[in-house]
Amino acid sequence: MTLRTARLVCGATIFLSVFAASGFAQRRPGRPFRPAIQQARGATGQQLPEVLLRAVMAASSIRLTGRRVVDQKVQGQLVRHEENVLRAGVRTRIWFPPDSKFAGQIIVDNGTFRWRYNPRNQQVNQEPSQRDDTLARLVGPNNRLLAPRVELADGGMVAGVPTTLARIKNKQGATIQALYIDPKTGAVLKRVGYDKNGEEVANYEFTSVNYNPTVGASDFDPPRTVKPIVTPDATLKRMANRAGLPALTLRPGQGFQLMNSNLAMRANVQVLHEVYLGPSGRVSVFLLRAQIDPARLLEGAGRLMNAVSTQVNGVTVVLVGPYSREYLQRLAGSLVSP
Amino acid sequence: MSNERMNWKQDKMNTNEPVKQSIDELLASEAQQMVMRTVRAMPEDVPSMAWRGALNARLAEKSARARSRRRMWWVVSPSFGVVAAAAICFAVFVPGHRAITPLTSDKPAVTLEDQLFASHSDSVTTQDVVGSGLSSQEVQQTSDDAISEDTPAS
Repeated sequence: MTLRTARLVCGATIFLSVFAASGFAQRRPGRPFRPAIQQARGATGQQLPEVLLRAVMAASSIRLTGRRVVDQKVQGQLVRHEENVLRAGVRTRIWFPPDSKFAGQIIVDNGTFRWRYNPRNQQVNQEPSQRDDTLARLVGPNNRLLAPRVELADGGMVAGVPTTLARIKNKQGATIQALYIDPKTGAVLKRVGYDKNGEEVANYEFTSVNYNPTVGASDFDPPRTVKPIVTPDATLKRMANRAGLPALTLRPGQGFQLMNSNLAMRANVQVLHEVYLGPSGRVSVFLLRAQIDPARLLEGAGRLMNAVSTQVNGVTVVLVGPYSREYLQRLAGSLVSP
Repeated sequence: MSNERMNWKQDKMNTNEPVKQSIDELLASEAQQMVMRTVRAMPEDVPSMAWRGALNARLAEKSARARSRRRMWWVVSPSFGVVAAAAICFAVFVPGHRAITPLTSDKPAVTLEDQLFASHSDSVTTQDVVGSGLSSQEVQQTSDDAISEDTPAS
């Protein structure tokens, strides 16, 4: 080794040591790990565009009724249905046309709970209210824009109303949501959600809209039924029982609310999928009887999403969500049978 | 050394004697003498002191420049190491760093892990879009119910 090479190696070693040590030195012992999403939320410093600000503000006060066409991915395929919507601020009532296969079902969301009445079994399922997280996530303190990028364009006519298209993009420049906003009222008349590959996952589009609806006194009351209301815990127990899996849930008191659960086949494996509403975004808990490759979980995780896997009583549990791996690991350790 | 070899050497010396004499004669010829006189008559070209001084000055200047360049390299070369280390650190520690994967036209096989990630993100995106409307699970459930009547335990 020549003198010059030795100097190069020494310089690099000293710099690396100082660089690495300075990072660790600043970490306080016992400091809690922040959810991963907090890192991604750095405000862009941009002022929220006027039309988006109007949409965010209108979300809590807008009154409208209309019909919309909804497409969403069900087992990999976009499935279409139509809904009638009555909205008064955060309260929503949804019912279905008589010729729809969902005819008779009624959904009521009063801003705290969401109930769905199914005439087939005369059952009412209760869930936490489905808050519009995407719109809420756009706004930071002093109406600063939190989304990485927003582009505005002419959205054309939707339900006979001229709209402005707001494309919400991620850091890579890919559109994650497209909102077609009526600039006069702030109503989102069309909305399209995309996955990370730019493929459409779900959309809705109003085909008619009326901004002066008649709202009845009981329109947002929970649907009446003689049967007891089915809670998310009860649904989970039923699903777990059907799949022969333990009904593991996140221990209460950590800020996570069980929203819903369902059974699905994934790569020829039956998977019980639980969805929780959390302080920084939704968490999925998957229960299955199959081996999971932790390396592949690490590969699939990104800046906004992490995943961990563990074994509980012979069952593989996978947690996915916008939180750090340490946080998810802690949540995994808090799974209990209700 | 054998006697035969010594005799051979003696013979060789005796045969070279006339050649030596003929070269001396050739050098004493008129033509050679004229060349000798011409060469001697040429002025002697001795480098002047001014030229030597200029050369020395140039050499001194060049050597000073080389010395300063060596000193500069001595300072700069560790800096290259530091810059290289900084570049490595940036590449490794920069937030959101992801390994660069080669672009391939072949789609990788969808594994169970990939499908779990997709289930999570699709569920989040769908719920963001449809809000309080029917979720994909409820659409699926209604389709299943249509096939076989659902009888809940509760």
